[in-house]
Amino acid sequence: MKLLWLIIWKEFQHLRRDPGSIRLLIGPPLIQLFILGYAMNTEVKNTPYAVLDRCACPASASLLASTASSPLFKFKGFARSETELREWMDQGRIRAALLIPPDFSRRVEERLQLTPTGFPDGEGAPIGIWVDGQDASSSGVARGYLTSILNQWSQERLTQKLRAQGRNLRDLMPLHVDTRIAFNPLLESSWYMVPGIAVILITMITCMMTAFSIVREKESGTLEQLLVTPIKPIHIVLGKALPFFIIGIFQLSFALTVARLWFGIPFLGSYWELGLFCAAYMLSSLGIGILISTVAKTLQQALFITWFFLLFFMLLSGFFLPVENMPGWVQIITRANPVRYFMFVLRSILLKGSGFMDLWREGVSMLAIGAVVFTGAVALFHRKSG
Amino acid sequence: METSIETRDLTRRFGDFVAVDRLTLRVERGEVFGFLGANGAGKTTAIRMLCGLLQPSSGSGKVAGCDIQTETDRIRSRIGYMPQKFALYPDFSVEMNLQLYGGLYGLQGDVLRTRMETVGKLLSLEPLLSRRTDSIPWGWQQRLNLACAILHQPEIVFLDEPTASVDPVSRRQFWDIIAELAASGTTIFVTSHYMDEVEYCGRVAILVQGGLAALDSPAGLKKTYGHTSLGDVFLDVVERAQTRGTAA
Repeated sequence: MKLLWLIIWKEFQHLRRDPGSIRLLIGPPLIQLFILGYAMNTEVKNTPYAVLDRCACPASASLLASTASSPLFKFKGFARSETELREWMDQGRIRAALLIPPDFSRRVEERLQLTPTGFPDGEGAPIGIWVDGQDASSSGVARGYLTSILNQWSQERLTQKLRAQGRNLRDLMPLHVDTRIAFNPLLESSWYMVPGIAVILITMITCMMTAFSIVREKESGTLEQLLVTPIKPIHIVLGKALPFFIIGIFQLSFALTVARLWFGIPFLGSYWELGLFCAAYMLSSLGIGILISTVAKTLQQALFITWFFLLFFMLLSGFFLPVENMPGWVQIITRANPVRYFMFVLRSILLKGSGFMDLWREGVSMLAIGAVVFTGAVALFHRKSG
Repeated sequence: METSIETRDLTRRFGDFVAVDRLTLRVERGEVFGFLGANGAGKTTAIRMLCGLLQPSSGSGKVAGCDIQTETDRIRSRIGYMPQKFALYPDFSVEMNLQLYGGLYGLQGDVLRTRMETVGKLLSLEPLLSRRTDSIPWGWQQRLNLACAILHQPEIVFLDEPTASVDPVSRRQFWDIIAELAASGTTIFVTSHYMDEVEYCGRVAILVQGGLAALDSPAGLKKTYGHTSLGDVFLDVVERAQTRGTAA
C-alpha cells in the first residue's frame, strides 16, 4: 500500500514538474469541445441549389419563392438548360436542382379546376428534383426537405381553392399528425454531440496518457530500474492508472460544466450515479492503455496502436452513426466496445435523467469488459516485465 | 568464505541467438568481480538474469542465497542495480530521486534520512541535493544512480558499465567508492570497457560470445597469458576463443 502511494506521489510530481503537459490536458480538449460542439452537426442547412425554370410564370415564381425563403436551401441561380445544370452539379456549385416544365402553370391550373363533386382527370404538374448523391445521408435529408416544401406549396394552393368553395382542407385530410419530441424538444445537435465528444476526450486522455506514461519509462529505462526494486508490477500499474483516473474524472466534470453553462445542455440525472458509471467505464479505458503499453516498445508504436483502437471505438460507439444502422454482425462487435455503453449512459443520464434502474445493463457490461481488460492487462504486464 | 553469486550452466537464448552460453561462476562475499567482454558478449543479459529481470532459458543461479528463477522477490530487496543507461527521473531533484528509491526499498523516516546522509557523504552529493537531476553533470548523475542503488545497503551491487564516458578523475573517485563499499562487505559485480579499471578488481571473468573464456585475478591472467597489460590479455583471450569457435 505504501509502495502504491509512493508511485502515485511520483506520478503527480512528474505532472507538477511538467506544466506543459498540464496545459495540454486542459487546453486542447477545451478547444475541441467548443469547436466540435458546433461542428458536429447533423443538420442539413444551406444546401446550394439551382433552378431550370422553363415556364417562367407567376405560378413557378410563387413556387420558387417558397424554396427561396427556406433557410435550409441556398439559391445559386437560374440555369438555361439541363446541360448547364448538369455542369454546375459536376463542378460542385450546387447539390440540388429543381426542374420546372414549360406547361407548369397550365397543368397546375388544370389540376385545381375543382368542382364540389369531383376532381379533374389527369395528374398534377411534374416537377423534377436532382440531388447530388455523393453524401448519401445529407442528400437524402435535403431531398426530403425539398419534397416537403413543394408538397406544402401544393397543399396551400389546394387549401386556397377549397376555401373559395367554402371547404377546409384540414377536414378532408385523413391524417392529422401531432408530433412531440422527447428529451431534446428543439432537436439541438449539440445536446447529442457534446456529451459524445466528452466521452471521446476522456477516452483519449485516460487510454493514451496511461499507455504513454508507461512506454516512456520503458524507453528511458526507468521502468527496469523500478522493477529491480522490491516493488510489484501491480503497484506500478495501479500507481500509473490512478492519477489518470482522477484526471479523467476531473476532465469529465470540466467538459460537463462547459456543456451545461455554454451549450445549455441539461443534466437531469444524478452526479454520483454518473460518477460510478464513469468509474466502471474508466476501468476499461485505463486497462486498454496498460494493455497497449505491454505491447508497444516505443512511443511511436504506442501512438499507432492507440489510434487503431480509438478509431474503432469511436466509429462503432454510436457517436455520430447510430449503432442500430449497422449490419447485424457489426452490432455484435460493438457489444465489446466500452465506449458504446458509456456514450449511451452519459447521454441518457444528461438528457433523460436515467438512473441505475434504466442503465444497469450498460453498467454491468462496462464492468465486465473493464474487469476482463484490466486484469488481462495487469497479468500481461506482470508476465512481460518478469 | 560466504558465496554471494553462484551460477551453473546459466543460458539465455533469444530465438536462435545464444546470448549467454552455459555460464558457470561463483563470486564470494565482499569481492570486486570484474565482468569483461566486447559489446554484445552477453554481459548485460547475464546481469539482467542475476537481477531477476530476465528468466534464464536453462541452467540455474543463486544470488544472495536465493534462486534467480523462483525467489526474485527476495533477491530484489538484497541487491542494488545500476544499469548501463542512466535510469533515474531527470525532472526530479537529486533529493527526490533518493527519497523515491529509498521509499521503494521500504526505507522511511529517520532511517531513510540517516541513510541519505551517509550515502550523500560517501558520494559527495550533498551540495547537489536540491538541483534538478538533469541539470547536474553526467559523472554526478552516475554517482546519484549508484547512490540510489546502495541506499538500502544491499548485499550485492551490480554495476553495468558504471564509468562509461566519465572523465578519468571522476572514474578514479568512483572506483575509490567501490573499493570502500567492498571493504564494508558488499559484493561488487561490475562490467567495464576500461582495462585500467579492471586492475582494481579482485577477479576478472572474460566473456566471449556468451561463454566464459577466462577467469582469474588480474595478476593471474597476465601470468597465464604472458602479457604485461590486461588489454593484451583481453585481446589474446578473445582471439583464441574465436579461433576455437570457428575451428569447431
